[in-house]
Amino acid sequence: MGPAPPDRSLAHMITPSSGGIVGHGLRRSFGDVQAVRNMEVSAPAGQVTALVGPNGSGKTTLLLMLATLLKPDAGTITVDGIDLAADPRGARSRLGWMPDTLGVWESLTTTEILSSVGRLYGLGKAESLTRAAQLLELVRLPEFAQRPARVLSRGQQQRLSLARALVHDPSVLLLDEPASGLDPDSRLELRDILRGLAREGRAILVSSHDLGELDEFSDRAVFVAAGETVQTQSLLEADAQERAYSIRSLDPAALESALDRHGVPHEAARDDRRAASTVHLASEAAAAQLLALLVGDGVPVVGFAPSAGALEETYRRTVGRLASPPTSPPAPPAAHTQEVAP
Amino acid sequence: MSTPTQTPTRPHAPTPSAPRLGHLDGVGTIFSLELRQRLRSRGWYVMLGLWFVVVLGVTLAVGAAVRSSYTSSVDPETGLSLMPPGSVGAGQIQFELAIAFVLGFGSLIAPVFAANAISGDRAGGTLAIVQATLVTPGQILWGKWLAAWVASLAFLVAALPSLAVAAFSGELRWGSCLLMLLVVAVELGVLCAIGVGISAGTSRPLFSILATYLVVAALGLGTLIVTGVAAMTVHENVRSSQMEPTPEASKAMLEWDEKMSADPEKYADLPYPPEADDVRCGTEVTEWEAPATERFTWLLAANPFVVLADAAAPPLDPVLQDGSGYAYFASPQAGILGSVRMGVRQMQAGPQSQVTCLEGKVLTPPKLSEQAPVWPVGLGVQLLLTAAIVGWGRRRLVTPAGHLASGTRVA
Repeated sequence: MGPAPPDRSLAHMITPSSGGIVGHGLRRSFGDVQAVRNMEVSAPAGQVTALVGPNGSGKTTLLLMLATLLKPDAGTITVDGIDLAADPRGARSRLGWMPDTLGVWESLTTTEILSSVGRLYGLGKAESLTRAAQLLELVRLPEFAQRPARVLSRGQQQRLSLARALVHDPSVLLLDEPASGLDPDSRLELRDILRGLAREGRAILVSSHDLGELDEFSDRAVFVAAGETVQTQSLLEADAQERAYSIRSLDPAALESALDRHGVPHEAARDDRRAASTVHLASEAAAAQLLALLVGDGVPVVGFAPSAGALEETYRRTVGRLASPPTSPPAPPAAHTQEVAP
Repeated sequence: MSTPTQTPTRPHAPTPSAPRLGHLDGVGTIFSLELRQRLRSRGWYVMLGLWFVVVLGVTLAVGAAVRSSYTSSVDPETGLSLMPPGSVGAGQIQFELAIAFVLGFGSLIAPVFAANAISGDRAGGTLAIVQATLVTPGQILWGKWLAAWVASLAFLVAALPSLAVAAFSGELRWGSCLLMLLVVAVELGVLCAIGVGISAGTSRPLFSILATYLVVAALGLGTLIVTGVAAMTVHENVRSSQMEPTPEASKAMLEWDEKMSADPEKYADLPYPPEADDVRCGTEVTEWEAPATERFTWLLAANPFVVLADAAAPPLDPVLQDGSGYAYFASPQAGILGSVRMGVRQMQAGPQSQVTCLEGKVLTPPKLSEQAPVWPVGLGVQLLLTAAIVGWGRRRLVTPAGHLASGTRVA
């Protein structure tokens, strides 16, 4: 037996009784299209796990399988220790699912929608109404309690959809692109809600397109491409990897000469709206060290931060197009050079 | 590799380990979800209003037509009806025609709501949400069917005032009329079930409505066409003998004839001997081909109008049935539905049963009251078809979904 493939399977680490959702060896095809080839995914309790991948990588198919709506061709899924194939209804009582399409009963009021779905999960009549009121408070829609769902804006409908996924107090939440189409305020609110839910001990799996915000709300990420899990990484691990840092200075020339002096390869940042230099540093310790050096040299540094989020960085390395090597195309001509680009 | 984190305990009460959704609860929630949406849609009320007006108009028009054809059957001097006693009256005819119209057009409207019930949810993204809960496919189907049926019964209720107009002309057989309403309600239920079953199995609402219409048309018109084709192709040999004069009758007839021809003036007033009319069943057997109706009447029986006629038409006064049992097609005595019933039951009995004389034995064709009813067969065929369609549709509702048809959205 060879060594287990690294970073691909956490199934042996998450024991069935520790809660959360674990999918192992999942496969699904539609006709001759293999949507999911071999996916490993785990979302432990108490953490927000992001599911990241390009379009067509099988994220929605995976979420449908996890939500018990689609039967995998192969593989197992356990929810809080319950095997989905053996007891789908037991698993369903613990799963909350928010689809990427806004399924809304337009003529029903928000309270009616929430309480009806609650009743479909076995809640009693009075209990479902109380729950509906609580959830409307949580997602900040209490003024729409008696209004029909069709008057809600898109962002409000998404909040309602999240409330609906929570109505039966699930221990695992599956959210398919919950932030798509939301305005900045709603995004921030959603982030706060998700972190709050994770603190309560729920396992949350969020499928996301938004690389820039991954670091803000997720504890770990599962990267998928072409139907396979490419990488699974926690935020801390991502922070610790080699990253690109973007340094801005009031005096770019001084910055560049200081970097040359310390033997740090750098390139002009690809973003040519603001003058900045990009360096690749192996760890956060190295970054702190470089910053101290630059400041000690008297370089007026105004910005020193990773040029991309930690998880975004991982994405670019593994799934996205290959990052450009440190030796870059010629720098844009400065005032004193007469170089002509080949 | 990161170490597994401690699972924090949740401060709130965890969900019970085996939450249950009672069968009736699930059906009731789906039912109320569906009905609430229906009651809040303006289009539905508009349709109800239009329907009410149309049925009223048709009833009045039919009433006028029936009454004008009945005036000719009234003795102008005495004002008494010239129809044989026990005939079905003008008001009853009006009611029958009106309720046949209600059934016909109701079977066009009712299934549409049913056909959109599940495929519409599928297209709108709400079906998957419901399927992710604890509700079972059976509960979804029951709830949707009940809601569609109740909605279509609203159309029946909206037609009641118009049907009551027929009561003004009197002569209504109340028992039969109530039975007709019941049968129409049951038929609407069957059609709604077919609509919901098709809706469950198809992904696009337009296609499910189309398919439902095709099945309704197959039941309403297709059965007629197939029966006609079968009548032309499925034949059997029928054996019968002729009634022939008895030897004594022939002799008497011959004598009378000889006398008349020999001396016409002398025997001009000689009455025709009554015994010359005696006949008896002959022994000579002729075979001829007739449609083997008893083999394919079950197809015709599946027609909703035939079920209505056979189950609910007013029972005929026994005095109307003579020994031969020949059907009175479109005869005013039996009424529209009554005539249909007589015809269908005779078809069920088959052509051989209409033979009155065979090999020296005089046979009596069965009376209408002795013939087995045809409507259980018809309803049975409809229910079999419904069960097959609903069973097929149910497979598409089961989650986790296995094999999917191409181009289907799961969510």
